[in-house]
Amino acid sequence: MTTFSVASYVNAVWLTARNLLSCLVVMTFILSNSTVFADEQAASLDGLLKQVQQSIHQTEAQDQQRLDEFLAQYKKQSGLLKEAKARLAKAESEQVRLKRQYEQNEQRLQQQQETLTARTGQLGEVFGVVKQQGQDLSGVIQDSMISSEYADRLSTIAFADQKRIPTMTDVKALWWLMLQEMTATAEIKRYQASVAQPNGVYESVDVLRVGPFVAIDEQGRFLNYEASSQQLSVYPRQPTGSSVEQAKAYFNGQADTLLIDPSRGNLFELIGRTPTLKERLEQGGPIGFIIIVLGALGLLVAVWRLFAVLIAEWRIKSQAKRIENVSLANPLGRVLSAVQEAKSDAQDASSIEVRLDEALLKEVPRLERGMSALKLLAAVAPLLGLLGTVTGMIGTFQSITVFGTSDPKLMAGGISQALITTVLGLCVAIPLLFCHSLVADRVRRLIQLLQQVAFSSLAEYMEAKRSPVIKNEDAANREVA
Amino acid sequence: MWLDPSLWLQALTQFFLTGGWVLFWLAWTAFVMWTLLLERTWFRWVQFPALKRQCMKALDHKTRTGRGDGELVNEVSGLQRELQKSFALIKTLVALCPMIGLLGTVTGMIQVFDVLAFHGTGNPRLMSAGVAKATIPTMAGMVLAVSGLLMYTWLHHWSRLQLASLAHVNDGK
Repeated sequence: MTTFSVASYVNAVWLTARNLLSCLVVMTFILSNSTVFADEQAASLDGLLKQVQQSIHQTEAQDQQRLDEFLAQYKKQSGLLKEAKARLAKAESEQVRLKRQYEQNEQRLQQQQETLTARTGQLGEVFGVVKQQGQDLSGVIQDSMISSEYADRLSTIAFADQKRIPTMTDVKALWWLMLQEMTATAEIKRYQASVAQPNGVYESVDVLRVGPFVAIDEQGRFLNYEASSQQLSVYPRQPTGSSVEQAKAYFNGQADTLLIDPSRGNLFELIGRTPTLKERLEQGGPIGFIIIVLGALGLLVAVWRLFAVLIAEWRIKSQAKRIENVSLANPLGRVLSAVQEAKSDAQDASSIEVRLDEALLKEVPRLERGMSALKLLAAVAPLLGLLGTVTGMIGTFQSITVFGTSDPKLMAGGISQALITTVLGLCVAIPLLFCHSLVADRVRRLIQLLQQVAFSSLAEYMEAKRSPVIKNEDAANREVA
Repeated sequence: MWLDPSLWLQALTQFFLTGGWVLFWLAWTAFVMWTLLLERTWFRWVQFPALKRQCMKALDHKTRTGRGDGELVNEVSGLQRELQKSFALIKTLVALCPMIGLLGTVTGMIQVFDVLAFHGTGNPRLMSAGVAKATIPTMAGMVLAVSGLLMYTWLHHWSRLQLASLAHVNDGK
C-alpha cells in the first residue's frame, strides 16, 4: 500500500512536473531522461526528491535562460522592426517623391512630344511633297526618251519609292533632274546610245534626238524608246513615204524638216500595228482571193481588148485614108473586099446589101470579143464582195454567240473580212467598168465607121451605075441612128 | 477672204487629207468626166453649128446636082457619130462616182474597226478620223455624180434631138 502510495506520489509528482513543463515541448526530452534517471536512482525517495527538485531548478534555470534569450530576441526583433518601419517610411516618402518626379517627367515628355509634332508637322509635309514630286518625276523620266541619254537618272530618283526620309542629296537631285528634263525637252541633240537593232543585237550608234518626241539614227530610221528597259530600239516598221530619207537628210544636216510624232511614239506604234497590204489581202479570206483572181483575169481581158481595139482602129483609119488599096488584115478592108466581090458577082442592089450586112455581121463579134466577159466580171466582183461581207458577218455573229460582245477584238476578224471583200469587189469592179465602157464606146464607134464607109462606098458604086440607092441609104441611116 | 487663193488651197489640202486616198481617185474621175462634158459643151456651141452648115451645103449640092449620095452619107453619119461621141463614157463615169464614194466609206469603216481593235471603244477621237474618211468621199461622190448627171442629161437630150433631126434631114432629102 505504501509502495503503491509512494509510487502514486512519485507518479503524482512526476505528473505535476510534467504538467508544469508540458507547455515547453523542448523539455519533454529532458524529463524522459530524468525519468529514466529517476528509475535508476529510485533507490531512495529523498534522492528522487532531490533529484526532482534539482531537475526542477535546472529546468527553471533553463526556462529562465530561454526566457531571457527569448526576451533578448524579442527586443532585438522589435528593434529590427522599428528599423524596418523606419526604412519603409523612408522608402514610401522616396516613392512619393519619385512618383511626383515621374509625373513631372511625363508631363514634360508630353510637352516635348507636342512640340515635336508641332515642329515636324511642317517638315513632314515637306518630305511628303518631295516624295510625291519624286514619284511624279520618276514616272515622267521613265517614259521620257531623254533617259536614253542619261542612263542612271532612275536610280537617282529611286528614293521616292523607298521608306526613308529624303536626304539633302536626294532633294538636290530632284530639282536638278527636273531642270535637266526641262532643258533637254527643248534640245535637238546628238549623242551616242546603245540601240537595239531589228535583229535583236544592241549596238552603240549615233542618235539624234529632237526633244522628247523623236529619235533617229544615222540611216534615218526612227527609234522607239522602250520605257521598261530604258533603251532605244529601231521601229520594225518605219513610216512610209519619203519620211526616212527626209530623216536621213535631217540627220546629216541637209534638210530642215523632220517628221515628228507629237504623241511621243504612240503614232509610230500605231503605224507598226496597221496591217500591211499583204495582211489586209489575207484578211479577205478565200473570197477575197477569188475576187483578186477574177480581177486579174478581168484586167488582162481589158488590156487585151483595149490594145486590140486600138490597133483595129488605127488600121481602119489608115485603110479609110487609102480606100482603093484594100487589105484583108483589117475589118474595114475585109468589109470593102466583100463589097467589091459582091459588086463583081451580083448586079442586084439588094443582094449586094445582104452581102454587105453579112460582112459587117462577121466583123462585129471580132470587135466585141471579150466585152461580155469584161462586163460579167465587173458585175460579179461586187456580188462576190457582198458574199464576203455576209460570210464575214456570219463569222462575227458566231463569235458573238460564243464570246459575247465583251471583246471587240474577237469580232474584228469577221468585220475586217466583210469590209475587205467589199473593198476588193469595188476595187475590181470600178476599173473593169471603166475599161468596159471605154472599149465598148470605141467598138461601137468603129462599127458605125465600118457601116458608114461600107454604105457610102456602095452608094457611090450604085450612083456610078445610075441605079436607085435610096433603099441602101435608108438602111445605112437606120443602122447609124 | 473668199478671194485669197492660199486659203482655198489650204482648205482643199485639208479636205483631201481628211478624206483619204479615195478622194484622189474621185478627183481623177471628176477631172476626166468634166473634161469630156466641157468638150461636149464646146462641141455643142462651137463645132456642131459649123459641121451642120457643111452638111447642109452638101445636101444643097445634092439637091441641085442630083448627085453625091455617098458623100452625103459620109457627111451625115460622120456628124451623127460626132454627136454620140463619149456620152457612154460620161454615163459610166457618172455611175462610177458614187461607187468610188462607197469604196471610201468601206475603207473608212476599216480604219474605224482597226482603231476599235487596237484601242477598244474608249477613244472616239481616233475613231472620228475613220468616220471622216468614210463620209467625205461618199459626199464628194454624190456631189460629183449629181452635177455630172445634170450636165450629162442636158447635153444628151440635145444630142438626141439633133440626131432625130439629122435622120429627118436624111429621110427628107
